Amino acid sequence: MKFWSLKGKKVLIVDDFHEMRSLTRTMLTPFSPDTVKVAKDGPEAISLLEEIKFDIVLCDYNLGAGKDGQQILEEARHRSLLPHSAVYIMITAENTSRMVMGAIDYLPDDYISKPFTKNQLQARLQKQMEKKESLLEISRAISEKDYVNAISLCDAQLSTNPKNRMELCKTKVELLIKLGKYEATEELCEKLLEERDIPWASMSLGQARYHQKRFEEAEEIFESLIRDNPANAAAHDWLAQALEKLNDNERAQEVMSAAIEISPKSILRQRKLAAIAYKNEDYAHAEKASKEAAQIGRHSCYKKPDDYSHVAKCMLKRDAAKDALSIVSKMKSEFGEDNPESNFHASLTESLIYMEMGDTEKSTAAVEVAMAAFAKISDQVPADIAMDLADTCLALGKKDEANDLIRQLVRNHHDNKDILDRTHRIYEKAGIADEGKALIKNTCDEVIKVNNEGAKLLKEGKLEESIELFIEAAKGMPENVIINLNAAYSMIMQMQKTGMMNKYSRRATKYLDKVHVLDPGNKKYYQLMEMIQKLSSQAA
Amino acid sequence: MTGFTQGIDYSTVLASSIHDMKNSLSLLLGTLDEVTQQCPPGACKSSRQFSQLQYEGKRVNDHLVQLLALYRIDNSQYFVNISENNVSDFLAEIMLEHQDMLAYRNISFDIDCDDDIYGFFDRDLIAGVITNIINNLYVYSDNRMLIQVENNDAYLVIHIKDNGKGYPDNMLCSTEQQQKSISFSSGSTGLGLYFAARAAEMHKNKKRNGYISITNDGIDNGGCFSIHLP
Repeated sequence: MKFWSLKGKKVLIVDDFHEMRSLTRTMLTPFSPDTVKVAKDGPEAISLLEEIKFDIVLCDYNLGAGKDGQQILEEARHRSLLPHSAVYIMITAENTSRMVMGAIDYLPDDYISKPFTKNQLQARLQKQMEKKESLLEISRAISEKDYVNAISLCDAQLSTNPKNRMELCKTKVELLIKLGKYEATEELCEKLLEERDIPWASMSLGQARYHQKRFEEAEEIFESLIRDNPANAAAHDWLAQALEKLNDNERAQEVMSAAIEISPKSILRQRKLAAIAYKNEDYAHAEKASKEAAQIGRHSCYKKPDDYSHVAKCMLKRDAAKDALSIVSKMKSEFGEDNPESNFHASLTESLIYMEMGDTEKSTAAVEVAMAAFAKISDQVPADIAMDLADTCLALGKKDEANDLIRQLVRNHHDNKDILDRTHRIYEKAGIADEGKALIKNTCDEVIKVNNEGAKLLKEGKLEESIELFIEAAKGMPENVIINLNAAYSMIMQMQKTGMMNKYSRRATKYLDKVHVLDPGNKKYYQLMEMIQKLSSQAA
Repeated sequence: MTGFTQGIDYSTVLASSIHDMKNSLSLLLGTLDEVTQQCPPGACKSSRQFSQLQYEGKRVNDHLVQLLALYRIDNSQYFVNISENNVSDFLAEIMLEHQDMLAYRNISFDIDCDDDIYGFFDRDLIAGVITNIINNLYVYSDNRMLIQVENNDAYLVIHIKDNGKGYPDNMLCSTEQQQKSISFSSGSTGLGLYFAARAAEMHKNKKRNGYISITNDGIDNGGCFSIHLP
């Protein structure tokens, strides 16, 4: 019988109950772990996770007020505080399904219910650690974004008819979706679903349909998942997304409300609900959801000043300017004085509030602060907020500043109809529609000209020059999807021609990563990533 | 009287009480475990009492688990968490917790399950059901117990057999139809049976539901409690 030990392993135990921490530590002692640390709550746990790379985390789900075990897991994975080989086991007092169904992105490796004995703990740990061992290569490939390789590793293991067949299939499906291979995803999922109603396979099938723009079919799949299991919050999320694409915004809002009932502590869901409610002009519900998001945010790594500014905006809709101002103060105290993002949002929102109140002087002073803050963080500000800023500038007579902002917006989104439409509307509202049209058109033309020049250079085989051109262009318009794609593309062409992998492989990937963040559904991203990965494996 | 209507939200009360009770039970059983290890049978005259204490402590927990699950199920708050599990590993883990008590009662047990059988079920729920059945068998079995697993196309069946006197007539049921008539009111084992039936029923696949069956097909006409999972 193999002797199992925790030699060389670092363990973190998180529980709000002192005796439980001791008891669990005592259970592990006979296995000689290298280090055992304990924490009683979220902040202590996170601080230890920042300091030490643990191999095992045993975390109680319920930690009293503040962060719970799921939130600690999310922060640890989101901020890469845990090595991908680390095992995270959630300790629960009861039925785990709500946690599983409520989680969005990250699930623990296993659950163990209290009370558990030393033997049970050992058995679970051993099983999970062996599983991680066997998946190590695959998870390394995934963390390096080498999805093509990860899939072949999955296939290799699957061909040996392993114990964890389902898990490997699930991993493979997730990778196929990441690579945009929706037909292969469907094939695999449909095959699995013939044998058994497997929720994750249905979810993936639904997602594949969604990405192929078959929104009605996607809707059906998510509806049926919800019928089978009303607590499936992720199915609600996707259903709402599909409904939005089908322009059924009212139902989308209903669905998100139901999702919130299932998993009220999810900040990301509250935000989605707030956005949809706002779109539906249901400012009361939007305000409530944004308030919840801000509240939950106090313990979450996902917290953002936006939540507060959304609350304030909703309050303005019901003429509660004073309340809106106090929300802005709350935002400032929550995020501190030195947070540029918060300062930006605070001052922009104040400007809007003072404008509503008719106080042009204060409004102008605030917008100037906002402009100064914006300069520091312009690449982190979403387009619609930048447009709010431009709109406000125009309303306060700061035409030059507004024009500069809009020019940059157009440069970054010259092919985005929604954004262009909105910029036109901003100028219309200010009574200078024609002037605006001209500015927008000129800026678009500029971008198109640069792009064409680059394309021409590529065609003529002047690869280095085209690379330089696109790099320069990307500096000036860092959020322009096409320019980023072309920067990557020209580097790929060069790598194909001369094999200069070292020089360009990483840089091309960075441009593509940017594209993926800006436009998650972009097909070219997948094609180009695959080209890079093929080149990498050929070179290796 | 209208005054009584508001009351407490039991769901929340339950969640926090459970948190506390589970912590207490963990300490109780954990500390007991440590002390028991310092007091092996033969070397210590209290070892029998310690075994008894462990058994009773676990019984309390098993009842708590069952109570909570039933509350959630009956209030439509329980959502099965189906995972793919290796059945022989699963059973081994359960039996690890029972082996001391079984030894104490001189009941020998066997597990007859192929290594490569996988089942799709809610691990915690089914573990609760099996533990329940075994707890009963401490009293009603003679000296042998067997867990036998068969996997046919439609169902995974876990048979728990004993060589006792068998189940009383009013408990016998062998088909899904009969099982539907189980209600809580039929005596002291009623709750455990109801729990097992509901737990099995929560497992569905392609329009087949899980169910339990009770016969006297056990060892030497002893009892046989079977869990059928689709």
